[in-house]
Amino acid sequence: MKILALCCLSLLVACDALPRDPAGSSDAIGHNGVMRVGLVRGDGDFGRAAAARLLDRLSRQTGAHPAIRPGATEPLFQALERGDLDLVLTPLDRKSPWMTRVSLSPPIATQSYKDNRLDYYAVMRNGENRWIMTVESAARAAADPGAGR
Amino acid sequence: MTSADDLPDDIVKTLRQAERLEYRNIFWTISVVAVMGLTMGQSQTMKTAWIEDTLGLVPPIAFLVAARMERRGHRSARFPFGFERVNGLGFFLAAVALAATGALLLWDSVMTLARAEHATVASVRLFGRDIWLGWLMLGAQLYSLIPPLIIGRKELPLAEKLSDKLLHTDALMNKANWLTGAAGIAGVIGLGLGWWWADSLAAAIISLDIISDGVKALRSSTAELIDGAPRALSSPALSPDAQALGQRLEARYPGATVRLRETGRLIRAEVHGHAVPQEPLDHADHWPAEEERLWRLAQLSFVPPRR
Repeated sequence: MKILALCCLSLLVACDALPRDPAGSSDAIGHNGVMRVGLVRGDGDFGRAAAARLLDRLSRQTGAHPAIRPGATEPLFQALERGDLDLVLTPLDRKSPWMTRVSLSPPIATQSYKDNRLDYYAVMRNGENRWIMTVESAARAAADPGAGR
Repeated sequence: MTSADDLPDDIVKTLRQAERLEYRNIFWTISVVAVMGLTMGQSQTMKTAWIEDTLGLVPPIAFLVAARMERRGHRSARFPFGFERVNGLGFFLAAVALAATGALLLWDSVMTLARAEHATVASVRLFGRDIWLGWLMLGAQLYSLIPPLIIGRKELPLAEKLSDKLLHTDALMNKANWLTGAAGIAGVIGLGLGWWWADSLAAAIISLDIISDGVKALRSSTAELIDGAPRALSSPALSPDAQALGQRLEARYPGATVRLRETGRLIRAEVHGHAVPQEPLDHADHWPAEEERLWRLAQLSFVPPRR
């Protein structure tokens, strides 16, 4: 019983310490003061306001300023997988083969046309769980009202 | 001749006790499957644990079907020997489920290690707070440990008393499930600490133990299905009861060939090359083990030499 109580206490203490990033994204961003962000522009103004709000919120949370690299989805995702980027902001079809290779935030903006729907996401490298949680939290707060629905 | 229709009252009572335990087992396993399903998110490890918990339903269902048919099924023109061998068929199904569980766990772990997959465990918003899904997974895994740990321990003495390999395999399945749950807890904590390889490594080591139990059960169950000599409860080695019986029959009927096989929990003996004794046969006189297990000797028959 004492061991169980000790385990529970240790887990409670660890509540804030977990999760951590295997590749240390959060630490690197905090240490360097820079977030390396890939940006894929949507049609017209799609996602622009939500992306700006998200970056602003992340900057305030981490104390790091965004270094933007504009580009197309494919090369930016490859850079994300290599660890050359911390975040990619992009519209993405849910049927994309990248869905399992990267981690997506909740949608921050949504565009509907006919029966189809396109969502705008913040996309992170798989497994960087602390950084993913930070971005998800900011994305929920910065999303357009009704995004993802 | 003894048959499943007239097992001793004490054994029938224990069989019913085991059936009640298996109903509870199914109820708790379904609750574990539901809780794991709600918290698994996109975690591959959790998905594997969920599949294993679902496979864990196979042995208790097989046991309940077999026990019901054994107790209530009657001999008929289509089934002149009754349904006592349904237990053997259920044992085979449970052994396949156990071996498949181990193989699935090993495959998943090795592939995750080989691909160096960094599993993402995201967050959810609950009660106005962002909570790491890993904490919910830990809660679910912790819950999933408790029913199989308790039920598996309760099944072992019943399996021994009933000489029931199907029930014993279910106890092993429960062991596999709580071990997998423990590996899952280590894995989620490992992921939280940034050790992406931790849960796969723990799961791979545990899967070897589960595969070993599964292969042993498969060897025993296939031996029973093809009329092999009776096997021990927890290993493919020959049953000590059957070995002692064989030795006693060989000593009593020298020159004869003694053949033993197992139908479910019962042992059947054939003495080949010896005339049928004139005096009535007393099974108790031939049974070398404890009297309480005499019910296991269901048949003692003689095949006289051909002219």
